[in-house]
Amino acid sequence: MSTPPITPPAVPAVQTQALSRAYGEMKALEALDLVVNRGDLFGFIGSNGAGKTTTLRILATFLPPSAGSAFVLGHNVVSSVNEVRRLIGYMPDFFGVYKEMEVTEYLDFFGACYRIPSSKRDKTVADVLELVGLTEKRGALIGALSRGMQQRLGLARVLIHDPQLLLLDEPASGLDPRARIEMMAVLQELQRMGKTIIISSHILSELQSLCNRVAIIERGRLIYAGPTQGIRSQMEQGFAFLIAVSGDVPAALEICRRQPETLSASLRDDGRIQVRLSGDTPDPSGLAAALVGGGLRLTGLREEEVGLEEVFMRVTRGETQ
Amino acid sequence: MIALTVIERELRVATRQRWAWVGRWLPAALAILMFGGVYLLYPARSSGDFGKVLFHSLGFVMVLVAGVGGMLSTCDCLSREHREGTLGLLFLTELSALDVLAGKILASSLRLLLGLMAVVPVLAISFLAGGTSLRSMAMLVMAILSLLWVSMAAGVFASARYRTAGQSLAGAMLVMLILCVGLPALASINETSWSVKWLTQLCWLAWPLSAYGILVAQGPTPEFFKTLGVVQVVSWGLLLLAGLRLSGSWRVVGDGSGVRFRSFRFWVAGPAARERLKRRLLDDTPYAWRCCLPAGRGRLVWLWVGLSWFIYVLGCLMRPRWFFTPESVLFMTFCTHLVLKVWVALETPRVFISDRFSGAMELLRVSLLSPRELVWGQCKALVLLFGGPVLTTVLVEVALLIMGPWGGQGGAFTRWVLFGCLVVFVADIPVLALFCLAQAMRLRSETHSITLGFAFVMVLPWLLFFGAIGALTSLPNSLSQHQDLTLWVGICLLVDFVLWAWSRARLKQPWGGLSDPASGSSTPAS
Repeated sequence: MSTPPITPPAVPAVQTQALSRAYGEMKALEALDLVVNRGDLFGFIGSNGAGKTTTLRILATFLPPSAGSAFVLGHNVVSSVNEVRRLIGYMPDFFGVYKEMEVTEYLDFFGACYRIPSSKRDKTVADVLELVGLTEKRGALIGALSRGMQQRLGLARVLIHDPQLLLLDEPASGLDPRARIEMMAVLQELQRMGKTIIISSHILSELQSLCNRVAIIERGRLIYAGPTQGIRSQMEQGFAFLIAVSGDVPAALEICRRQPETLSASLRDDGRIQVRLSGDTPDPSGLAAALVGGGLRLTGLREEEVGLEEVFMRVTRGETQ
Repeated sequence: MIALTVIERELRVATRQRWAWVGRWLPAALAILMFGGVYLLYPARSSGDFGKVLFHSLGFVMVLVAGVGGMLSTCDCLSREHREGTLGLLFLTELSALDVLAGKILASSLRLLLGLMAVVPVLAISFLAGGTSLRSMAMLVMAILSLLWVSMAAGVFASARYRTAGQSLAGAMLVMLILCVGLPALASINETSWSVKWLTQLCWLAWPLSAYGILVAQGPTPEFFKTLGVVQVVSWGLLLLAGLRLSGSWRVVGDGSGVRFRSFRFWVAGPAARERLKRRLLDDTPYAWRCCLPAGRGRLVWLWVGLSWFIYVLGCLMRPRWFFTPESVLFMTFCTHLVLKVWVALETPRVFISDRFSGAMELLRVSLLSPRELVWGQCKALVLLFGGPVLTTVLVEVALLIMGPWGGQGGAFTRWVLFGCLVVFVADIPVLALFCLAQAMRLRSETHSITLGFAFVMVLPWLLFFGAIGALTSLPNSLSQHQDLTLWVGICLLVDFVLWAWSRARLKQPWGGLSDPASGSSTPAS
């Protein structure tokens, strides 16, 4: 009887174990344990100085960790630098472009830096330019491009050696809404192509719709890492509902507080009552019945939409290193 | 006064720099060292003699420092603001070009002034020793201040004109060269050719070193104050030009220069040749290609070297009595060597530091290029830019050594001098490049890298040589001309060797936190 072959568990795209980094006395990262699966579009969220860029720079082999370890597709970022650099594309939060070069020259140069043979470079450059929508600007000087186009050129540079993991530090910062939307569309396309993308951004509303997983970091410590959809249930205690009544609002607030499934109830500035209910799938019908039974006229009841921004604001204190 | 805002800002920035502190005690320490050296080495017959030697030695050094230091302290003050895009922000406020200039000059000069002031007490020893009068001392200080002012004005003028640190430094050096060498040369030519009396007089009065020269040669004369006045007019003229340039240029930012550059590059290199060179370099050493940009600079070096030697050869053919003499050969050699060395020093750290500022270096460091390949790329670019012109210069000078005009009186010794210069030149060029490169990795300022390159490779051997000569003159048997020359060449080669070894060791060290793919290791940054 032959035993079926044991398939090894898929190696995560990124795995860090107790990753730490100190700049002198200041600890930028403290024991960061992070796992990013292959194919993830992973949002990395944190205040300025929280440690996002430090993490990305360590993963990009640009910065060695003070302690702990980090692996990119199974390769240690300290001991297998060459392998890691072949697998990653790093886009820092600044352009780093040569303004006096033409667009194709710039990509050609970085293609050569990644040792792409000259016979293949022309086609590769044309492909990445098409992917980021800069084909028409191939002969333009970089200094003459708009900020959005320079950002797209930066993305093209990242893609020039066909990396499996993209580390993008604030790729949409400073872009106008159209350029931002176009950039996000390109990222989604890249995810469909099978790339793993780690994106650090301050524009949380966009990360919410873009990323399938997120991590929140503050003062170098990981606060949350998991699916974007699950962040609310994990980070918030229960679900929140907004209730509007006509008549005696204090009495309505009192009724809400008395319900057994209510975790908390408070009156908001706009006159509505915010009620948090316990349970994975809370049902507000009992609450509604109690209010109506108490002689109050219910004019509105809906679940409060808790966005990533709100969760972020609640779970972090804006503390930086 | 609104200019005080700029001064205050500049002073705040200056106080945070390490050299603000060092710049106060180091000049005093050096002056005391020099006092000790003169005291020990000079066999003075009386305290008056000793005071005189001290006065002239210290005065000479202070003049040198003021002439070079003033230019260095201001040559990147405005161009840096230009590059960082902060100049426009200043002009969006109530500040005028005059305010900005005043702020920049006063803030830049303060460190140097404090340094020079620290030397004055040591200088006063020469007065106490009876070597000079109080009046002469005051006049020396005035001459130094005048030189400092014109030197700073030259730096500011170049800084307002150019955007990169290297260009600004080269521009300031050119202005000072015109003032310090060009004016006496013009006066001499005028005397021999046109004999326009007022032109000669004006040239000598406008010469920044005139005041010091008059003081040393004749003592206090009315001419001294005249020359101070004319030098002031020249300085203010330079500042006025800088102000005009500044008030008109700060708005011009962005891509205009790029468009101009592209047409120039196309015109100079040609598309097919450029493409071939690009392919070859990118496949072999990608960073060398980047360091060769903007294209056309190599041809400028060729143009300069070719034109210089062409004019010289033409002169030798047409007026051999003037040009085909040992002195002319030596002068030509000196000029060619100096310009090529300065050019190499200016070129070497340019790309490295520019890439570090733009962030491009970070992108390169996470690519597959190792630090060694980056350094090698820069070296290869320098070879491409300067290899041909340097080799041509060496070959021409070898030809002159063989077939030159060495028959007359003193010709044989001049031939040896040329040989010595050639040996030092061949040794200096690679060491200068390597040393400036090592500095560029360490420092964040192009000006500092270049200045250190000049100071260590080109000035230090001379200081050591003069020190050695000073020490050896106290010996009973003084050195012959040939021994002097051998000593100078030996010191130059020794300094070159030490700097070469240091630079190599420095370039082999891992860059701050940089992982080297070749070794597969990385070093934690401090």
